Amino acid sequence: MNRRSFIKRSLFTLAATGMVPSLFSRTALAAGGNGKILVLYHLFGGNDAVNTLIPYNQPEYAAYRPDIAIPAANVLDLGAPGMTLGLHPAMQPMVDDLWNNGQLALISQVGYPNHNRSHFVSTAIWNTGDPERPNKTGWLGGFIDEQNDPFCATNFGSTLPRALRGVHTSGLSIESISGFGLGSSDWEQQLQSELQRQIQQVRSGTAEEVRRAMDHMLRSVDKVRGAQAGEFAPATTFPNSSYGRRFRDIARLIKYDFPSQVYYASSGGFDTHSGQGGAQGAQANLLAGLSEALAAFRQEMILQGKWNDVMVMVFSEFGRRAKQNASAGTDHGKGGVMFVTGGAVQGGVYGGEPNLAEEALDKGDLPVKVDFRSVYAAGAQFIGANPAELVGAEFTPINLV
Amino acid sequence: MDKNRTLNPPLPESSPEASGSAPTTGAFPATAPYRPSGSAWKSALALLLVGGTLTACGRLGARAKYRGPFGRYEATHLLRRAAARGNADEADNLASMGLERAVDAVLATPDLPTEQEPAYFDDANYVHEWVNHWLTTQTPLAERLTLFWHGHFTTEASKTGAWNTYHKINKLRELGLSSFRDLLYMIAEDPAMLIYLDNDDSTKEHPNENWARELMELFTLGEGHYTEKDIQEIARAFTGWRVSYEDGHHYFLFYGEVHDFEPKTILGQRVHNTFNPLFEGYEVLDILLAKDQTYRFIAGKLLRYFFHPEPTQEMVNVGADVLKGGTVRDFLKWLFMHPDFYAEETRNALVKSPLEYAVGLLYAAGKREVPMDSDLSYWLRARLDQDPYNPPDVSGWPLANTDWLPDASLLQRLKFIDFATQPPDSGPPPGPIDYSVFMDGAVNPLSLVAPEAQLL
Repeated sequence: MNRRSFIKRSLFTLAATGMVPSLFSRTALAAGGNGKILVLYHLFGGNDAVNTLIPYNQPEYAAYRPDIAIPAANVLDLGAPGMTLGLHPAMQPMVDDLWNNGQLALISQVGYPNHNRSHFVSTAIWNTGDPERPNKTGWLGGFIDEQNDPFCATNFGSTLPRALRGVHTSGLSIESISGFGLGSSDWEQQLQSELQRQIQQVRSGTAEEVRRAMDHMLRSVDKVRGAQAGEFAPATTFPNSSYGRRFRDIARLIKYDFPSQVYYASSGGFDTHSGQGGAQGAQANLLAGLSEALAAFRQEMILQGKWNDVMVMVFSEFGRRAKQNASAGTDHGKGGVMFVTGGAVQGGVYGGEPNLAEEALDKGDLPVKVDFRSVYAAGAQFIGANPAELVGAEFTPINLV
Repeated sequence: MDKNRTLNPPLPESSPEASGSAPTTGAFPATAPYRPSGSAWKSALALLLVGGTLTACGRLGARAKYRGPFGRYEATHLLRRAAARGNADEADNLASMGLERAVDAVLATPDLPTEQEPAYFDDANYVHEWVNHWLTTQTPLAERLTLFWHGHFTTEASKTGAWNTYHKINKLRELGLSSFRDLLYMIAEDPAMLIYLDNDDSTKEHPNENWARELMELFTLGEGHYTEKDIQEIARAFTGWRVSYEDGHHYFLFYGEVHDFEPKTILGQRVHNTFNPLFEGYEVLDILLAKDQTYRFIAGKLLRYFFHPEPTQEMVNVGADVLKGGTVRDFLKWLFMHPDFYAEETRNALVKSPLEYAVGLLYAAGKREVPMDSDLSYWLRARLDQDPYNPPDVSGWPLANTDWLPDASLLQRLKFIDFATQPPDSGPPPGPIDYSVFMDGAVNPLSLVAPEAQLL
């Protein structure tokens, strides 16, 4: 949900001691995890699926989108059997490194029944995995509760997404690794010991909620200290974009055996009601940033020998209308597109080529053909959790691995 | 923390008439909503009222007044809630006025800042501008309230420009205590809003639904009280509501050429004004302003911001009545004089937003002006995680609850204590150093690591 862009600047002395980075104990493993890692990446705003995974050969495509259709010559055709589909030209790195290696699964026309077009309600549904009760805990909450370890899931960003909220335990949330810690100045040392004293005193009401948040924060600081102490000089160059920084931080925690089995991050800007652009422009820049970061992340994971143990799922809360609006943009729609990748992932297009013919659309939107929970189920299975418990037994995991 | 208090909390007076039949559910133990003045029929009415059996309950309940002591302890709570800044002298001054005059003083007509030139906004100076105004104004409640309305009627300067946002905030400051109708009419014509939610691009052929959706979902009714069809119809009614640009300023204008002149049906009501099609937009606003749900939705949000994270349904209903029949000032006066407002469960029940935390702490440290070249803007936007001109998304900021406190932001709040409490280079700060309104029982910067420092 975070579409702020942050300027990163580190002013604080880190608690770097020059020690050899101590490896984190694999608490997640101890509690029954299998050591595999699921990375969830939310494209907030509703990514336009039609200009991402493009049915460019259908006559309706250019007709529906006079200002924003991407010329067929620029579309990156996937050569998927029985389909004429291509990716947005800004996604060249994803085609080269992921698709051509058979490691990119594209889930087409994904969503849920009785679609809700509100960003917030729809995001809540994707995060809880339950369209009926979007206010309950996260779809991974059961996993986090079972592990009983807040470090088994880490969010990068300023707001903990509902996906990582359990009944008893919630995931960790940090903005960036380098700025996360209390320094060694006299003042910060005093502050830390007074804080330790204060959080011993149990309170009631909101004050008690704040005390618990402080306790959670202090334990998180301790945990992240290990990753700060180590030099992280990846052989891979991550792009200097919000995507690049997020994937770099995730790669850094993985490198130091941080005990998280789930990582979560998000980027905004996809709510392209106006000025969406075509082959170039607003959406193109976003997709390019994501593609470059994903390619770099794959490269770094290969070097760390972890690529086969990682699954990345990229999702957006909904797709957009098949037809453009008057502002050379698109309004909120239904069926969207997900990307799933990893060393063990079977590449391909799941969910079929969208049919843009008026009568095939659901009131002007791509219909929903794949329920997102069957994709989540595959992710749950990958990290050794029970899909039926997390998303319901009726959602059979898609065969992605 | 109780032992650190410099003053003992007085017990609220209890009402013998009410205690026997007090409801046991809800966020708070019931306090007497009504005090009979001796006559028998009034006593009987009070009993009925507490039992909730009168349909006039809301109307009469609105008159429920706090009759307990109003000393420094209570005035501190009022000041912290209303203004998010203060010191013991100011609390004593309010206490000396007595409750009603103190509440009237807090709700005085807002001070408006000196108009700035557009060039002023080149480099995120808006953060300093707002903070410095908040630190010096005679009407700090207007600032806390403006932050509420700016988070409710959200726009982001990154899309609309800082200059438009500055003007929008000034208008919200001016009208913040007026009726909700005044605010809604103003915001519908606001250039920043017309740009932000893309109404400026909406045409008869391609109506843009962004404004229509958020008008109902976020600004008036709340999710679940309308259909997708209503959104489409409202979008059609507002076609032609656009902005023009002259001499560096955006202005609202109606552009009939792109307006959809066909009839619309919105929430079951027909809207069709061929005489003056501009008025179809106002007619839509009137339909929404006639709905009780609008006032319940707004009252609920105001209560979560000024009262308690989980207000009882009864408080929401009574507050909605006050708001529908009057102004935001009437609503806040009712709330600030309500017995439940002074209950112990209400005190310190809310979480300060980063802007409130920063202003309150700077003020407590005696600061009255933050230099333009200081790091404050960076602290707020990047570390404490509240860029006042760029809410995170169209739903605005968290409402004074613990959603403000993920690990990273909480850590930065503690680090900020040092930045805010350092004496200025030029010598002692202009105001008294007094942390007692910022946090009950605080005596020095180190004591501000207690959880209570995060609370209002």
